Amino acid sequence: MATDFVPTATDMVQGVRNIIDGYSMGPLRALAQEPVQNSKDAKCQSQVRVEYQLHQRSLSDGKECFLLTVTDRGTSGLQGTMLLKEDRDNRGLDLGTGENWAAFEGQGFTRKDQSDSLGSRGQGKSAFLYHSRPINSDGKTVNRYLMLYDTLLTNGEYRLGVRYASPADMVKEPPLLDDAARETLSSAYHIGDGTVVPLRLKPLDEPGTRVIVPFLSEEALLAVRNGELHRWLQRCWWRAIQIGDLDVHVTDESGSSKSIRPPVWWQGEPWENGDKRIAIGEYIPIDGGLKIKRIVLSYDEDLEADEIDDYSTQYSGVQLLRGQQWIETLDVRDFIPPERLPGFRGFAEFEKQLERELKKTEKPQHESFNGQYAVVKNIRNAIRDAVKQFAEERGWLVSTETQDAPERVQEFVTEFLSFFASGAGTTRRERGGVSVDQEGEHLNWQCELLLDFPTAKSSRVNWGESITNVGVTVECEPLKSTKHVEVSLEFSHESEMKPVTVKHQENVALTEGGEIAPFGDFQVVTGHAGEGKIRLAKRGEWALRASVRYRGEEVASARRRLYVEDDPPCFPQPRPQTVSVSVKNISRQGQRRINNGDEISVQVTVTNRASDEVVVHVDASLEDRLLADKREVRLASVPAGDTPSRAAVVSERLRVYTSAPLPSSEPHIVLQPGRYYLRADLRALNSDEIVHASLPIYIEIDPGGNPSQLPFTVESIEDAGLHPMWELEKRSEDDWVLKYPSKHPIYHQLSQLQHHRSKLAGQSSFIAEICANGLLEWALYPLNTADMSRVDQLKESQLNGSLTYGQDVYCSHIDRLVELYNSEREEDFSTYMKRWRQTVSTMVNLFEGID
Amino acid sequence: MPVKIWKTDDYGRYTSSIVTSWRTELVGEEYRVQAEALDLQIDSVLDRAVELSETVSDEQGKSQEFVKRWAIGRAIRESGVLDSSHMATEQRKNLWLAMARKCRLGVRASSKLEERWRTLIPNRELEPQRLERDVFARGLWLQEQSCADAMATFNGSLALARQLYSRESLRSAKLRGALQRWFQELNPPQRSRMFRREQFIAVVKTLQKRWPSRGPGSAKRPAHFSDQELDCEVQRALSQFVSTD
Repeated sequence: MATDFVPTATDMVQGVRNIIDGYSMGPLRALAQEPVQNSKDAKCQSQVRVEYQLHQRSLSDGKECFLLTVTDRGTSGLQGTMLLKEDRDNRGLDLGTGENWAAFEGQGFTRKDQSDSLGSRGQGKSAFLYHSRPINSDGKTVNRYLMLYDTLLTNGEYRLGVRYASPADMVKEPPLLDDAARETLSSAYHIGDGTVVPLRLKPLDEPGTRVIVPFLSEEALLAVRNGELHRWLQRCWWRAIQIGDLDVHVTDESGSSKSIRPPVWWQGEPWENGDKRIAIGEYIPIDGGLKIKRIVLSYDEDLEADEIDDYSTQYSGVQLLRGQQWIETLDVRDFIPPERLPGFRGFAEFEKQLERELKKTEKPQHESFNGQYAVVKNIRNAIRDAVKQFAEERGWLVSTETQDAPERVQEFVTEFLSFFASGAGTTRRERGGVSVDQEGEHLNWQCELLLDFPTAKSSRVNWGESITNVGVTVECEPLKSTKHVEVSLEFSHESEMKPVTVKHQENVALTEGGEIAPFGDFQVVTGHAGEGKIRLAKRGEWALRASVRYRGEEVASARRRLYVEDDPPCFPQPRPQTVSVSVKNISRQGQRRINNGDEISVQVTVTNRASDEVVVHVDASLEDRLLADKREVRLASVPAGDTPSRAAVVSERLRVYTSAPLPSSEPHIVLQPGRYYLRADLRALNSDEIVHASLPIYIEIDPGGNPSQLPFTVESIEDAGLHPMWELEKRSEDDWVLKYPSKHPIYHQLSQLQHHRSKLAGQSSFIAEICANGLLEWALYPLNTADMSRVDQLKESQLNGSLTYGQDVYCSHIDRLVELYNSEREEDFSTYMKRWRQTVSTMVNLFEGID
Repeated sequence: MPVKIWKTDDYGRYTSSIVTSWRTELVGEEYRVQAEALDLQIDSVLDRAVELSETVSDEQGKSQEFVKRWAIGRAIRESGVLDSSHMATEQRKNLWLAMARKCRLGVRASSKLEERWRTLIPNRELEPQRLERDVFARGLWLQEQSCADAMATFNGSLALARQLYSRESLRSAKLRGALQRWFQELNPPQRSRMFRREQFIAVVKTLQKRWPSRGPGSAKRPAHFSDQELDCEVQRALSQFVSTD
């Protein structure tokens, strides 16, 4: 080890790593930022020039290595007394103005002038050291950092210093001076532990400082070569460069030099030239007489995003500049729509007094302000206001002063949404659900309607043809004793008001393993329906519905569709398989919050719309509990036009605990208070595409925004002006708001909501219509990943049992809507919209019909 | 469980308030007795963290910050404070806040000062809330492995650990075990290269691609695999990093 190094007890290697880890935007931003900032702090001329230069050198074994030099000119250099460690210790931690050499060599000093210039806190040194990866005599990288620094002072004095983190923090004392320094620079530096640093550099020829980073890291080398360093330099310093305070160059190993220039959208200070793409606000007061000097916002539709990946936003927001240096970028996504963001740019700079206040709030890494300070909050609010106005002026953001809808509207909406989507019903209308036995026991019911069409691939039935082997399978779990159920079949045409009950079976006895209630064959006729015949005189779509009742309550049902003397519509389905998940709080029905000890029902269901039988694999999990592991499910083929085939993959009841319970045979899951997800993935055999559904659940915490199990809350837009009749806003993954304009002329002309014979009197009709539309939009939203959970929730609503026909029509509309949504909507757009309107109409009718 | 949040007023005096998720009539003060009992328990946790930090540090002689973070997590786990029935309905962030304040101020339940606690959490951060959440939650996560295993998985670097922790689907202890075993099978230069920040991030991103945190492919996670299956999955996913050598 070199004897002229003075070690300290500090583990500098770890210290450097800790400091660089503190940079949320990474070590390259540190390298672009800290050296230039140090140079600016030592400025003695009107302009500081900084050059990053790459040098290629050969080692004694012929291998190549690289040096990075960062040289400044127009600065005072590292002037001031060269303190030995002993002297520094005697001085305590205080240094005076101009003691730059001591500050640069020291660590943890404070300045009497309260500045932290020249990296006395260690940020600057770490930015250099981190990128040096010395290698030992065997050519292997060692866990050390190294840097050299030379300076020419205005009095002609020349100094060359060395800092070596091995990992102890060591500084060469005394430094090499004048001729000895120049001679070393022109050859090589021998550290004393066998490490030789090939330098071959020209000594500085004008006052300034140069820091040499030997054995440059691969990351930094790549950044110089691929331009990432240039991009960071531009982000940090474009404004200082623009006003002429700074000139920065990057030169590669071949000597090719590039000047860092302001980004193209700010070149020529376009805010001074009345550019219509730009909005400017100046001298904006915030509290205490402090002022924002300038907020400049710009949108250019031809501009593309210019962001360095994997880090927070740099340009597509509002850059906050202090001392012409970029510190942070304010997120504007609350106001600027995603499609406009790539072309949006902005920056703000501040008056001197405000800059001084801001500096106190700046984090040591100079990459963010501390938001806990009032001054920072006020600045951010003022900038957000400016961005909001900018977006409103361009029509991107409709100013929507909203408030909770009046109580009478809230009550009405709750009633409407509960009717269609409470998710709290004890009866699942799609095939099966849960009922409560006389003994208070929960029973799970399933049923399926089996039949064969005249041809396997289509649900078309011509007059005179038969549907055969009609049967209804019924299952109940747990089945501790024989149970008797009623099973009935009924047909309904989409334009008929009443269904036709064709067969009824009482006292079907259920034993373990389920039961099939056989109904035989039905010949479809137009005339008299005798034994074994059914009169379906109208052409078009019919539904055959099986209903299972236990103790008078409908506990399960199943439907199939058929087309009489008509070909079923055919919509190509790019995603014929879908998946749906549901979690219900059994202990406290209708509550989204699940408390310690509550029992939940977890279900995963898959659906097939393809005309071929398909085998799928399903993974499903609730956090660490794997509910289905590549579970193979065979889904029946679906004749064209028929109801999709479904299968329950997971149907479990679990007790939820927040800490491990005493040993228990009861199925349970342990989840700490917080938010978790039920997730399901479906893969069809021979397909790489994954269909996915997920649902958040809340353990011992209230869901944010919307604590009820209803799909959305409702707010009224109070502003006058043009607003859509309704809009559905996603505030977070499961917090949705339906907004309507309370001054909308139609709404306004209707009489206020009040108790009336009709549920839809006055403004109720408006609210019912927008709620129905909102529900459909909310339910179809997750279909982009073939997630059917919300659609199923709508279909499982607790409609009144006497309105089974209306429910059929409603479910049929929704099924069709999903098919049309999944198909190429461009081709079937009018069909899609027609079906949408029919569904809304049916929903309103259904709602009106109950009392 | 209600927690006691220590602070200092403008005159430098120690004051405290009670914070809880429990239902209160007016303010958390009505649970001061329970909060002070917990405050005393936290004293023991922090003492144990210091003790562990010194003991393990001597054994490992490596990254001090990493060991401290691990030690504080292990002390919390050993204390059983999280298993208390009172914590069943309390959010952990309140507990983290209480512990962080005691560390930052170095104050015992008896109001006596305890300087050693101040070194348990980093001091340079100016955004305490984020720091506090990270320190304790991540410490608790780190201690799911032994200190030696955690050090081997992350080469004693908290920054590398943060890369994995910040990706929710990759937090499983099983995955860390598999990753550690994968690192061990590499030759020393390969391993050394993997622990470079940029390379480690690339490794983590590859794992994230295999096990996304949300959306398609996120249902089956590392926690759902057996160790043997997971080893195979990790090897397959990361084979690109070895084959280039």
